[in-house]
Amino acid sequence: MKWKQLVQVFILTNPNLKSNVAEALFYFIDYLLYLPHELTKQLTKDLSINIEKEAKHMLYSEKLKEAPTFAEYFKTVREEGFEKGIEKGLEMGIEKGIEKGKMEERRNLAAELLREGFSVEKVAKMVKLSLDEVKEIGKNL
Amino acid sequence: MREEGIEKGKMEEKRNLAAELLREGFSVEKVAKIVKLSLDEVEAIGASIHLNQPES
Repeated sequence: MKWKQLVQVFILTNPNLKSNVAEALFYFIDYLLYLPHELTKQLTKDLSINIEKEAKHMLYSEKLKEAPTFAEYFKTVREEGFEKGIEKGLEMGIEKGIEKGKMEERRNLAAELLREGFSVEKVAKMVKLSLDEVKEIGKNL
Repeated sequence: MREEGIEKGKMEEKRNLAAELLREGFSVEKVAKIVKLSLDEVEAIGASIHLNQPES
């Protein structure tokens, strides 16, 4: 594993290698130094640091994406992205919900205050709605 | 999840208005009735107002 990593890092970080040569080399090494799945995972993890630092340009190569080590890397990246997306979506859902709940409740409270006999101006100030909005709510009481 | 947010937003606004009304000098009972929170909740809000901004 150590060897494989050394060679791979060498390929990834060597600016003199043309990308098609690097690709071929990468493939060659991936198949020559075949590692069990667990080790490939570990190697991918170590390697991803190098990929992120220096070899982004190589990732545009479709061919390279299928080489075992890279394939594992992409799988991880995709899964992480997917999870982040879901998390973000949930967060946004909650935030939108909060906004909606606030607006709904402001209108409820405004109605309640108007019923208690507060002036439109006072209600608008207290519940942070515009005068027009409060007037509108007053009409519907 | 969205519903959770709506509930949270409503509670936040209720507590804001409760605090506002308490600052205006309304009684705990009156505030509780207007914003529809329990007496205990309004009392707790009142206590936190006094902690955060002591009257000078």
